[in-house]
This record gives sequence, C-alpha cells and structure tokens, in this order.
Amino acid sequence: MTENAERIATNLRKGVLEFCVLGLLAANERYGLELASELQGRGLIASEGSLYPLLARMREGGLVDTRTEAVGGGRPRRYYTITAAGREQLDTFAEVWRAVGAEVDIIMEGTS
Amino acid sequence: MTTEDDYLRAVERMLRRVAPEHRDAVLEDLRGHFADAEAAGRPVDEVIRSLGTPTEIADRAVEEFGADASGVDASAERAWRVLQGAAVVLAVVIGVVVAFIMPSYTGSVDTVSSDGTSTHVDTSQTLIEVNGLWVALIALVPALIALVPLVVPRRARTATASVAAALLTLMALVGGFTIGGFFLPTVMLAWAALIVWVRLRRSGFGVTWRIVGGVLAALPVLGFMIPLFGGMPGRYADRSDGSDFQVSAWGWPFLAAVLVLGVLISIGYRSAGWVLAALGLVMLVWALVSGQLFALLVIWLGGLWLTIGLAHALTASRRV
Repeated sequence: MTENAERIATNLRKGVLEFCVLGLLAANERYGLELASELQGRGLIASEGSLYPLLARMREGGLVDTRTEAVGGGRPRRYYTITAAGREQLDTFAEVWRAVGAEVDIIMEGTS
Repeated sequence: MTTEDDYLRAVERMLRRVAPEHRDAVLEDLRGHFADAEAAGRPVDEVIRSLGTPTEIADRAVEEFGADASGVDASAERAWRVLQGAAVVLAVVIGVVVAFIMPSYTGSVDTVSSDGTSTHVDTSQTLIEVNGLWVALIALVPALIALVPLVVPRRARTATASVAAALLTLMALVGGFTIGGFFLPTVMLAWAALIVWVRLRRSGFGVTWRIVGGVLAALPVLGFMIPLFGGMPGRYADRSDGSDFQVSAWGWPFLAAVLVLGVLISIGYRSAGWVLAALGLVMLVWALVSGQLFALLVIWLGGLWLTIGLAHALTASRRV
C-alpha cells in the first residue's frame, strides 16, 4: 500500500475496529493474544498493542466483560466476552454500516 | 525476560498520562499477551515487534481515555516546588551562615603592653563585621534569584527557571574563590528542579536517568576508594612513611552504604532517594556549622547527594 492509501485505511479502520472486536466476541469469547492476532491477520490493526487500550475502554463502557480462567501451570488467562449492551451496540452498528456502506458503494460505482 | 520487562516498564512510564485504573488494565493485558505468546512458542522480540512501540500504545490510550493531565501535572508541580523550594531555603541558610556566622577573615594580633608582656590573639571576623551590612546582604542574592521562578506565572516558569539556574551557575563560578562556591548546592538543586519540571510532564525518567543518578551519587565514593586500592592490595602497601590516608572504622560502612544507595537508586527504589537526601542534608549542615578545613568539599558533596536523593525520591515510579 502506498503511504496515502495507508493513511486512508488507518482512518477507516479506526472507526470500525471497536465493532470488529464486538463482532469477533459475539461469535466466540477470546483472550487478548487471540483477538490481537486475529485482527492483525485481517489487517484491521497495525500493531497488536493498540488493541489493549481499546479493550480497557470498552470494558469500562460495559460493552465487554472479562473472565479469568486458570491455564495449566501458567498464569490465569483473561477472556473477553461480549455483554448484552455490547450485542445491542453491534446490532446498531450493523444497521448503520449497511446503510452507509450501500450509499458509499452507489457513489463509488458512479465515479468509476 | 529482560526485554519483556523493559518493554512493560516503558509502557507503564508512557501511560503515566492516563488514569491508573486504565493503565493497570492495559498492563495486565500486555502481561497476559506475553505469557500466552511465550506459551505458543513465539520469540519475545517478534512479540514486541508486532505489539508496536510503547509510544503507539500510549497514544492510543490517550485517544481512548483522554489524557489524565491533572495527575501528571500535579506530580510534576509538586516535585518541582519541593526542589525549587529546597534551592531557596538552602540559599537562605547558606547566605546567612556565610554572611553572619562563618569567620571569613582570620588573622592574629600581637600586642605588647606597657609592662613588657606580649600577648598573641587570634582574631576571626565575619563578612558583616568587616564589610558591613550591604556587602553581607549580597550573600542573600542567590536566594532571591532562586525564589523568582516560584512566584512568576506558570507559563513563564520554564523560561524563568532556566534563566535563574544559569544566573546562579554564573554567580557560583564568578564568586567561586570567595563565597560563590558555597552556593553550589543551590545551583545543583535549581538545575535538578528545572530538569524534573520539563521531563516529568513528558516521558518521565527512564532507566538511563536512574543509572546516571546512581553513578553520580556513588562517583565521589569510588573516586575516594580507587586510589586506596588502585596500586596494590592494601596489606602490601608501604605505609611506613605514614602518608597513607586512614579511613576510620566508621568510614568504611559509610562509604559502602553510599555505594549501595547508588545501586538502589539505579534500580529505582524511592526510599533510597530519601535516605541519600537525608545523608546529604546532614553533611551540609554539619559542614556549615563546623567551619572546618575541607568544609567546602563536604558542602559540595552533601549538596550533590541532597540533590540526587531528593530528585530521585520525588520522581521514582516504584513506591518503596
């Protein structure tokens, strides 16, 4: 990606990252590393570390919750789960995304 | 292991800009991230690379939570006020001692009385007795200069404090052969206050600063010990001419204690700073009232330890 394309992508991802996290958690609870690797693999975050401040804020906002589970021998692992408020938020986003996405698609088709 | 710890510590330092509960949550997740990555067999340097820089994480955290500017500012403000205040108080005390108490002029007078007996009297006079009140008041000028940054508006603080520190340095250098040298502790405290004020509101003090502080504190001790041990082992040294400097029984534990304090400061223990500061203060006061030979050297050493100790105690991130 060129520098310009990278900048556009970064701005777009910033807005949707929170909902991608909710979407992933809606399918399955996940621990930090799992979530970070998944998002980075999909090119939704540039660096894995930036996920954690987002998760902390989402937890404070009541969109996600955590659950610790003992892992054989090692330190207890912290799983993130989606809350009812989180699901609601995700549904709202899905609606908005469909509407906005559709409009953006129409405009883009007109220009190309 | 060290790289992981270094990384986490760097993040912790950078996250001073956000509220403690958010900082702890992020750090806890990062620790879990490292542990899980290690369990998955990912090499540490690769994990660190894909996490991104501590600055990126901190920037994102500030974006999410907003900077908790009040917390950082309050601690920077407090540290600065204590250091600058110490510079003022010390300048007043030193000024008073130098002008009114310390015998700056010494001499002896021989008188022969009418009955032929001669008496010899050693005289000592203070600055104020010889030069009068106005000259003595010059000794209080450094205190005034150090006071100015404390009373100017906040936005002019950095500039004023820089000028004040430079002026104090100049005075100590120019007056170095007379009374200027006594004010070196004030000069050191003024610079320390300025550095703390500027750094604490940005990225804070990392391990490099701590090591420099620890080494600076221990350096006089090392410089003192190396000549003793440098040539040959003590028991082979020729002491027959009696020229060897003897360290008293109390001297060794004292020197060793300062070395230990230097190490503890480098590691980051806050209490080591308080102890070193107290030690420096005691030496300073002792040297000021004793008026002995080498008093000036002891004042410098006490001032150095007071400055490093106080600055460290006020800025260390570890609570102990």
